[in-house]
Amino acid sequence: MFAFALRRILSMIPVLVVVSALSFGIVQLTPGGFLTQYLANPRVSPRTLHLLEVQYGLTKPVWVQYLDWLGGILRGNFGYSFLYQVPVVSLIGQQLFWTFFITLLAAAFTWLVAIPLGVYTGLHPNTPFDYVANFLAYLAQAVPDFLIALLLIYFLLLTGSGDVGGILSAQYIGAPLSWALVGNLLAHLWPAILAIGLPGIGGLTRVMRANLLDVLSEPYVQTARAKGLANRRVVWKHAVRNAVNPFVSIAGLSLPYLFSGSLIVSIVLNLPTLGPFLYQAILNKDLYVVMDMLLFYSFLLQLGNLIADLLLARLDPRISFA
Amino acid sequence: MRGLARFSRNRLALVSLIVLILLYLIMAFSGFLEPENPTAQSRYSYLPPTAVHFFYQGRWVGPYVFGIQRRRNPVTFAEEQVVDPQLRYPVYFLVRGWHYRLFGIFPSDLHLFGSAGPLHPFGTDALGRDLFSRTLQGSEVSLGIGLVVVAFTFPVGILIGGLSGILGGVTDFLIQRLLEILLSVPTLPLLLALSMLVPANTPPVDSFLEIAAILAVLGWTGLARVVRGQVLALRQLDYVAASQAIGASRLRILIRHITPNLASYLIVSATLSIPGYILAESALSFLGLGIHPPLTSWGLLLSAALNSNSLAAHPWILIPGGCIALAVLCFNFLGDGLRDLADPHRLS
Amino acid sequence: MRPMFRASLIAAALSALAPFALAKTVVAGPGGQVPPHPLIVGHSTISSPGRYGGTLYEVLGGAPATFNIYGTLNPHTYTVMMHNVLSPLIRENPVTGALEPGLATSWSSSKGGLKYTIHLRRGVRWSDGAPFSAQDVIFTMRCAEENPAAQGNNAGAFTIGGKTVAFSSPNPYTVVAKLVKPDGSFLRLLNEVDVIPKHVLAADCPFYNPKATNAQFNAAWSINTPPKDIVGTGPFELAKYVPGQEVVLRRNPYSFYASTYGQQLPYANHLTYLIVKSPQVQVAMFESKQLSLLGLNASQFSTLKAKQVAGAPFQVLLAKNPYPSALAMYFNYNDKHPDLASLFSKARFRRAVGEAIDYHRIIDQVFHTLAAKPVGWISPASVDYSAKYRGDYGKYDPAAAKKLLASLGLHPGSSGILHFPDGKPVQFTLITYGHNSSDQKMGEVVQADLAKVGIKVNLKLLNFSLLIQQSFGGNFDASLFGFGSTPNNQFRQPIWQPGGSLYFWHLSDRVNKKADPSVMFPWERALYKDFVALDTTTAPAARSALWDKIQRIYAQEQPATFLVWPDAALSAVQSNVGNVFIRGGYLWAANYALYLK
Repeated sequence: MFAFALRRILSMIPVLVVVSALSFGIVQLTPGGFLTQYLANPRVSPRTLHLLEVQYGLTKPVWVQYLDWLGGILRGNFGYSFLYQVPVVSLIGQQLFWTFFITLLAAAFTWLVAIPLGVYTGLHPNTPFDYVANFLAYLAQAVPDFLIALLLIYFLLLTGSGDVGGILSAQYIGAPLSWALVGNLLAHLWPAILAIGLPGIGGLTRVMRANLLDVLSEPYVQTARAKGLANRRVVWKHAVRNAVNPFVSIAGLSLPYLFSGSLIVSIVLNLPTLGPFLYQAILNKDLYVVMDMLLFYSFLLQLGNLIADLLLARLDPRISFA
Repeated sequence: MRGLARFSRNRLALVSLIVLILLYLIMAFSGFLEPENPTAQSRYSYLPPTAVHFFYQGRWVGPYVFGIQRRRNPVTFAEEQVVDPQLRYPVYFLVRGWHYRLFGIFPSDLHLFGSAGPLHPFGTDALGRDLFSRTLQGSEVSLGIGLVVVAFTFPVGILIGGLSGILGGVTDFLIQRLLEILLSVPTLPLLLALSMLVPANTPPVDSFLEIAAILAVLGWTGLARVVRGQVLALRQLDYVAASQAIGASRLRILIRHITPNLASYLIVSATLSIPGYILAESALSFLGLGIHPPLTSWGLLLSAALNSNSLAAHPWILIPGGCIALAVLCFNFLGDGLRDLADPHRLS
Repeated sequence: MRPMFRASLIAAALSALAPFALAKTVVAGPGGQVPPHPLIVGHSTISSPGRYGGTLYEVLGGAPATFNIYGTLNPHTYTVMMHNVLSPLIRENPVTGALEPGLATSWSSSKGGLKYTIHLRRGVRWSDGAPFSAQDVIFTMRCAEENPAAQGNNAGAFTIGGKTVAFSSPNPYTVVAKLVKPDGSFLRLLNEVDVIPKHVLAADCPFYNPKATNAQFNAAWSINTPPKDIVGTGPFELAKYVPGQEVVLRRNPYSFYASTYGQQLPYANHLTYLIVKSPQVQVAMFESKQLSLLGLNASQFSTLKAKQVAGAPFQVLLAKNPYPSALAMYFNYNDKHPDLASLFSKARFRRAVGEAIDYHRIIDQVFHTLAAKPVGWISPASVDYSAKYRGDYGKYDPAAAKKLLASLGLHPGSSGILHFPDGKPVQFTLITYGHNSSDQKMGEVVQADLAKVGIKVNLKLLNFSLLIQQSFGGNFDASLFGFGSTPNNQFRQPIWQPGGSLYFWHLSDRVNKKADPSVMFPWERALYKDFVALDTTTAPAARSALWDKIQRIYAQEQPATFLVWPDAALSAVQSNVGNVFIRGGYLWAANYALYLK
C-alpha cells in the first residue's frame, strides 16, 4: 500500500505541472495586468511604471516568467505577491487557520445533521417525517449559499445585531481565550457555518438513507434478524455501521471543499479566509498569488482523492492495490 | 407507458416538471408578461411590492392600485413614499404598453396586464425599475444558460468519451490524461480565473455565450468519463461486436448503437447537471464576473443586495434569489424522479 | 474613482492645525514625554479639553497592503492609517488652504524663488526614542519622494524646470531646497511629504546601502514586519496588526502634538482600525457601538439620521466636502469608428449630451439630494475658482439637446434612434466602474436619458483596473468616472492639460508620446499654453487670470461632461466621543484630538 501511495503522489507532479502551465496561460491571457490599475494615478510616471515592471520581472518573456516561478518552487520559493510584496506562502498561511477552522465547523455541522437525519429517515421510510425531511434537504441544496448568507444578514440586521460578518467583535480580537470570546466567536460564525453547511446536507442525507435501505435488505441483516437479535442491535451494529462505510471516501473527496467551498460565503460575510483573498488577487491580477492558490487547490483535490482511495481500501478488503 | 404511470406517481417530480414547463413558458413569453420595460427608470426608488386592491369602500370594483406621493424628508434626506388614497389606477388585462419582440422576432406591444399607476409586484430597485419585469427578463439568461451549456457539453462529452472508449490505445490514453488534468483543477477558482478572460469590449449578448462556453469547458469531463466506461462495457455486447465485424464505422457504432443504449442515463444526467450550471452562472454574475447589463440574470439582480447599503430597508431585492432556488429545486426533483424511473431497482 | 474610504471625513480629520494660541506649558500624556517644542493645535480641532484614555474604533474598507506609504501605489487603506503614525513637513489647511507647521516650524524663500530654507522642529523624537533630524528629511526625499523606483514616489511633482529639486542640510535643523526655476506652489508640495526614519530604513535604500535593491525598499515595512520596527513622529504608533481583522495604533510617547489647553496629544490610548468591507455591516457595527466614528454615504446617512431623530445615542453629521471627486463622462476624440470620432470631437455634441442628462435625477436618486449640480473640475472652495462659468454646467434641457443634435446633421430613424447622414445609427459603449457603485447608477441614468434624445448607449461595467486600462489605452467610446481631487489645482495638470499623461480622451495630440500643440485643436492649444504659463507665473493676479481662462475654455468646450459635484461630507459619531464638531460648515474630527467623554 505504501508503494501505491508513493506512486500516486509521484504521479501528481506531472499533473500539477500541466495544471500550473494551464493556469499561467489563463492568467496571462486575461486583459490587463497588476500595474494597469495605477495608470490613472497622477503621481505615477511612465518611468516609474517601467522600473516597477522590471522589479516585478514583468519585462521578461512570459515563458521565462513561468519557468522562473517553477524553478523557484523547486528551491522552496513560491513567489512574491505584487500587492503585498511579501512571500505568497506567508499570506496563504495567515488565512489558512480561519479558512480551515470555519469550513471544518461547517463540515461538522453538515455531517452531524445529515447522518442522523439519513439514519432516521432510512429507518422510517415513507413516513410524514421522511417526506418533510427529504423536502427540506432538497430545499437546502437548491438555495445558493450566498443567498443563505444574504438572508442571514437580513435577519441579523433586522434584529439590530452588530455581530454581522467578520469573526470577532472589536474588543475580542487578539484577546486571550475565554468563554466570552468563544461565545462571541460563535455569535459571529453561526451564519457562516449555516450558509456553508446547509447546501451539503441534502445530498448526504439522501446517500445515507439509500445506503441504509440497501443494507437493511441485505441477506446478512435478514439473517441477523432471523437469528432473533434485538432489532436495535441489528440496526446499529450491522446496518448503520455498514451503511456509513462509503462516507469515508466522501470525506476524503470533500477535502478540497474545506478550502474552496466557503469562497463566496466568505466574500458576502467578510471572513478573513482564502476565498476573498483569491477573489481580490484575481481582480488585481496578483499573478503569483493566483498561481499558488490554484496549485494549492489542485494539490488538495488530488490529495483528497488519494486519501479517499486509501481509506476505502482499508475498510473494504475486496479492493487491493495490486 | 408503464414508466409514465410510475413517473406520475412520483408527485414531487411531476409537480416539478409542471413548474419547470411553466417557468420556461414564462421565459419564452417574458415580454408579454412584463408590465413595464425592464430597463425603464422612474423616480420611485425602492418601492415595496405593490398591494393590489379589489374592493373600494366595501364594494367590488375589480383590481386597482393606489397612487403614490414621494417627498424628501428635510432632516434625514430619506425618500418617503406615501400611498395617496385619492389616486386610484385600475389594473387592466391585455393592454398595450412598451414595445418588445416576442421570441425576439415578432414586434408587439400587447401585455398580459398593466396599469397607469405604480404596479410593481416585486417592488422597484434603486433607479425605480420594475423588479418583476427585470426578474422575468433575467429568466432568459438564468434558465437559458443550463440548456445552452448542456447543448455544448453533451455532444462533446459523448463524442470524446465515446471515441476514447472505442478507439482505445494512444487516443484513449491522451484523452484520459486530459480529463485527469481538467478534473484536478478546482472548479470555482478556475471559473473565476476563466471569467476574467471575457474581453471587456465584447457586446453583451456575446458575454452570455462566453460565460456558457466557460461553464461548458469544465462541464463535459464527467460525462465523457462515464460514457467511456459505458462504451467499454457495451463493446463486449454481441450486436456491437457484430456490427463491427460487418465493417460499420466506429462513429456509426457510437451514434447508432451505443448512444441509444445510454439515452436514459444521458437524460437523467442532463437534468441533474442543469441546476449546477444555473448555480454557477448566478455565482459568477453575483460576483460581477458573469453577465453584463443590459442583459440581466437572477444572480446579477441579486448582486445588488451584496453591496446594498441597507438590505433591511428593502428586502424585496432578494426575490430573484428565490427564483434561482425554485428552478434548481425543480430540476433536482425532476432529475431524481427520472433516475428512479430509469433505474427502478433503486426505488426502495 | 473607486468607492474607497470616505476621503472627505478623513481629510478633514487629519489636517487642520491652527498655529495661533500658544499654551504656556505642556503636560505629558499617560506614559508620555513632554515634547520640548510642541506643535500646539488650535481651536479649530479642539473645542474642549479632553480626557486621556480609552480606545477609538474606526473602520478600514480593506486590509492594508503594506505599511510603507512609499512602497505601494495602492492608496485606499494604508494612507488613512499611516497619517496618524507619520508627520508631514508642512500641513495645508483643507479649508483655508493656508500652510501650517508640521515637522517644519518656519520657512523662507530667496528673492528669486530659487532657494527655500526650511527650519525644523527641535527635540522631536521618533517613536522608538531616536532623535529626528534633517538627515531624515534628506533620506525621505532621496529614497522615497524623488526616487522614481519607489512605488509611491512623487518625482514628477519634484521635477521643476526639468530638474529634480536638490535638497541639502547645512545643519541638523535646517533643510535647503534648490530649484532651477521658480515655482509658485513648491511649498504646497511639502504638505504631501510624510517623513520616514533614516535610522530604520537606510539599510533598505540603495542610495545608503549599495547592497539593497529598489524592490527591497518597496518591500520594507510590509505587513509581516514586526510593529515595533515601524516608527514615526505622528501622534500614534503601530501596536499590532491582525491580518484581515484589525490594525491597532497606540499613543506615541514622544508625540510632539499638544492642545491649546497644554495637554500632550493624543487623548486616546489606542486607535483601532477594524477591517470591514461591507457598507451595511459597517453601519450595523456602528449602531451596536463597535465603531466610534464612521464616514457615510447618502443612503446610510438617511437610515442613521432617522434613528438619531428617534433618540439613538449618536450624532449624524452633514458637512461640506470642499474637494470631492467631480464625476464626469469623457468621449474619445480618437474613437476607432470615424463617425463617432468626429462626433465626439465637436463641442456641440458634448454640450448636447450635458443638456440631455437629467442631473437632478442623479442628485436625487443616486445621492439622495446630498450633492450639488456640476461645477467643472475646480472646486468653488479653491482660490482659483471662477464663478463666472457656473451657468455653463448642469443645464438640463432635452429639447435644446435635440435641437443641437439635429444641427449636427443627425436625423431620427423609424425607431426613434438618431442616424448619421450615412445612415448608421448613433450608438456607443459607455464604460464605467460596476459593483453597484454610484458610478454604475449614474451610467444607467445616462443610458436612459440619452435614449430619450435618440442616442443608444451600451453600458459596460468593469472592474476598476480594466476601466482604467481601457480608458487610458484609448480603447473606448465613452468612459465615466471621477479623478478624485486635491486643494492644489496645479497637481491636476497631467489630467486636464491637453497632451498631459492622463488627458486620455484625445491621445492623438501627442507626437512621439510628447504633447505637441501643433496637432491639437485650437482650443486645446490655448489650454495647453495657459497651463505652461502657469508653471512659471508666480504673481497671484496673473495666476488667477490664467486660471480664469482655463475655466472659460473648459466651460465653452466641455471637454468632459460633468455630471455631479458630490460635495457633502457625511459621518456619524457616537455621543461619547468628544471634539467632533462642525464649524464653518466643515467637519472637524482629528484623531489626535478625539477623546472619550
